[in-house]
Amino acid sequence: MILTPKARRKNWGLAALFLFPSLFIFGVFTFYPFFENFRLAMFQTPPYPGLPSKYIGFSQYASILSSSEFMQSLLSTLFFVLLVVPTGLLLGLALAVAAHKALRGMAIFRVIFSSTVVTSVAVGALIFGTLMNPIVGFLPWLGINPNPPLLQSPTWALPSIAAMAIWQFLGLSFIVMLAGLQSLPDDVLEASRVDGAGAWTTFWRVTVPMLSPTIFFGLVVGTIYAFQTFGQIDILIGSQNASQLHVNVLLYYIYQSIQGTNPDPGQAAVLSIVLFVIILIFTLLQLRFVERRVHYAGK
Amino acid sequence: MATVSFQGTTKRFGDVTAVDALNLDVEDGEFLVLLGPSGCGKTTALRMVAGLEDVSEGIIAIDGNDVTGLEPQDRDVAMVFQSYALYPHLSVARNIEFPLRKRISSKEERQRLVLDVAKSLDLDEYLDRKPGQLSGGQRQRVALARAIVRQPAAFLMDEPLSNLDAKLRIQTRAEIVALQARLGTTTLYVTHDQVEAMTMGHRIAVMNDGILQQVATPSELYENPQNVFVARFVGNPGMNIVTGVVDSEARSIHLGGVDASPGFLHDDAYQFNGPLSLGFRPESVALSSTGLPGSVSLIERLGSEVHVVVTIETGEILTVRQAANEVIPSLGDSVHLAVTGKVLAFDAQTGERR
Amino acid sequence: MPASSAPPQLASPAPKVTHHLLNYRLRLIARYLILTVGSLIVIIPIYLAIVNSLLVPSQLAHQPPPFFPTNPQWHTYPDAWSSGHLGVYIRNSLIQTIIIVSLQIVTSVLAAFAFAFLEFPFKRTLFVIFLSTLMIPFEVTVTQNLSTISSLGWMNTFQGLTVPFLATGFGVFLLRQAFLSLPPELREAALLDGYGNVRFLTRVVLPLSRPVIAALAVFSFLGSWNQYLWPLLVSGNDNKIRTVQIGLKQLAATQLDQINVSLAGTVIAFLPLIILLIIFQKQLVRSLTAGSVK
Repeated sequence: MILTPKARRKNWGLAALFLFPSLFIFGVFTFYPFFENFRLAMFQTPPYPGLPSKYIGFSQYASILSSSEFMQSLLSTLFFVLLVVPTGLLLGLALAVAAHKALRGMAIFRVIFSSTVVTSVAVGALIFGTLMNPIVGFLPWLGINPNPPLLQSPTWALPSIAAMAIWQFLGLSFIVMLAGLQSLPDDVLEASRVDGAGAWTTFWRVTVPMLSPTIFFGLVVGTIYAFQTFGQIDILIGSQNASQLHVNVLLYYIYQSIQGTNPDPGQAAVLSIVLFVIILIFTLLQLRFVERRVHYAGK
Repeated sequence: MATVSFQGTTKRFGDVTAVDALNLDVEDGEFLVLLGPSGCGKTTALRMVAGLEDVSEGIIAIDGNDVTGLEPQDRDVAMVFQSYALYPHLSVARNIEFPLRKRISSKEERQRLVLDVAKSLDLDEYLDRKPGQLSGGQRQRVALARAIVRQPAAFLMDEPLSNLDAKLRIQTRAEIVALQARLGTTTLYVTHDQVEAMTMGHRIAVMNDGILQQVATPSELYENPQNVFVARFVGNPGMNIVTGVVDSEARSIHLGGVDASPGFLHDDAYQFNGPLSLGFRPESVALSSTGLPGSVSLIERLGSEVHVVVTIETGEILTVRQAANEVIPSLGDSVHLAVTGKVLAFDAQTGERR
Repeated sequence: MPASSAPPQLASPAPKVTHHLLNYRLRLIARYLILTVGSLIVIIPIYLAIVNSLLVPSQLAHQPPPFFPTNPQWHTYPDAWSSGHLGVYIRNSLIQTIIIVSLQIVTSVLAAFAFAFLEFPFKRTLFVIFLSTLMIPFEVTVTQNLSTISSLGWMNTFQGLTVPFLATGFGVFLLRQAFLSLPPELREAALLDGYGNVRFLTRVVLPLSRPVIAALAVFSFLGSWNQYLWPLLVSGNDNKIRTVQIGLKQLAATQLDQINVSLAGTVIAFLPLIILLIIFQKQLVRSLTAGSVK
């Protein structure tokens, strides 16, 4: 606002001082490692620690991306995302619609539905690990007693982990949807009712289109959340079995490349770039196909 | 106490010139009103004095010293904002005290000053309240108190009354005038409301499109506007303007090619020759049996007086001010107008006074 | 509507009203049904975890499963606390979280203030750079960060655990929006009153932005308390800085008869957050929905 030359000079210094801490952290821990990935991806990790790593250029991408292990990991990841995000968002929307009206007891329902947002990956994993235990708890009592048990089955391990992730994502999805619903102008909804539309028509023809920015936001957030999931797999399944149970999602694959006795930074770098590109593509796709149909009120 | 002067002061925002080479001197102790329609540059001019806006060209001087490059806090001016800009998290007392904290180190002295000012503005009961708990008028007084308390060289007021309801506005208008008279502090007051300007200012500076139109006392401004813009903007309703050709020798006035001299009775109308814009106040024209023919297009009844709006044959619209007890025509009636009072002549092209 | 004066053709709405009322009641019942089912989905896992944490080991595999702990084994909680080193882990988590939350607020406030109130060259570009950090998930940078931390000698230290998270693009964005929504006249009034940038920040901006800062604090508390990947990598083999989440992994039962203890540990780690949620629900919702509405 102050534009006298003297003040402007004074501002430069202060701005630099104020921005420096954030910029420094971002530089060292976000941008440097991000771009370093692209360099590391060109080098093959030596078979024995201590030997110099060897420049092999883009052929490392080719060899990793064409491996069956990577393909399986990619498919598991995409399957996982497709299971978690739409289900989580729909459940969140349904509960938000149900809890939206100011009726008796809504405050309690809202706290309950939001509560899974504070559960950590480890907490969720331990709770669900017990729930899905083949001996303990409800599943055998309900007559669900598959062999091999859920978390040891190549067919059911991934959907089981997805169920946990949906449960944990439900809180966030609910909060976002409820806030979206509450930000809708009442008069438009009332106008629709007065114009003779029933509750069902109003919901699909008016509420959902007007809620589309929120749904879009939920899609982006949910996708990023789903790609980040790997703690449940680490706790309940572990790295030895992840691959054969088809739960070796990309992030866990990266984790295994840098952990353990034989870390492979080159492979981890390639996988990190792939993960980044996939998340980017998902976000851009959502921007392109969803946001086009998104109705932004008042813009 | 101080003078404030603009010397060729110009402000550009990109390609737009908001204030164009403004030359204006505010005298010591004067209450000067900057008047103009919205977007005319009056607020920008005020903000340049405050130091909130950069000056593109020219200088601003306070008490003869060039302050163009100074920080706002170094200019010794206080400002009352349209929105009051009270700090919502501070009590009334702390709001008033806020500008003193850097200037006066003694806490007792600060509190004494705050209390004095609060008492003089009837705010002493509300010192512990937050701005959110006050009415609009009280908030406005807190904003005034915050400006007064530090005894600045000049007050800058940016439409301080526009957020008040009509009745309170009239009351506060008088209070500010009395306050300024008591303190004798040079005041620069921005408004778009010409009634406010006429009732408050010692002098009024009228601006339009960034250009200063005229600086004069309220009565001078009303009687002798320097151009068509000022004539139309000042007064409620503004001056009537018709454009025609005057021949002073033949004592004729042609409006739209038709001789209209029967409508102009006053000698003023025939002083100049050629194409002219002729201006006359609504009280200088009356309904008559002869004169300019036209039809009544609107009637506004204001209680004690009535404004009869007549569209004459050239399509120009004139307003006649009548007392409520006179005979009022009906809408659509054919009438004649006669200009009985003073007529001002303006250049038909430039709009400047002849 | 007085019945006596009603014209005959208006007599028919009477049954329609009851029909509507019935409809309304049905919808209300349906609504509460959905709410109840939803609540059960959310609560049952948590409830069972609490019940199971209190069971005698022999009851764990009992069919049908007990719905109530008939013989509650409260000692599982002290057991989990001591055998799982939960005291140490919770302390570590608290230290880690307090460092991250407080310093994230400091760096975000400073940067947001610069973007909202100061003029400097390349402002837009720098802001875009800040925003672009939101596009790079931490997981993508984790490999290289691990070697940075390790070459700094920060493995198994709180610096290593926290420093990479001391700046947040989200926080800067959130606070900048809040700062920009303050009336600009306040800034100008403060300038005229002789308050420079730093005093304006501390005397006006911070007190007025308390709700948003609280929202950021709750959000970043949740994020850092529940971190999993990074603490796992940095504190891998050392009790010294191991956080609760990693501690829970260690506590995850391998033996059936220890499930009650491991669930007791889970409840210990989880309960404080539920309480925080109930207290700070408003702030949390505010931060989580910062980007979704408008």
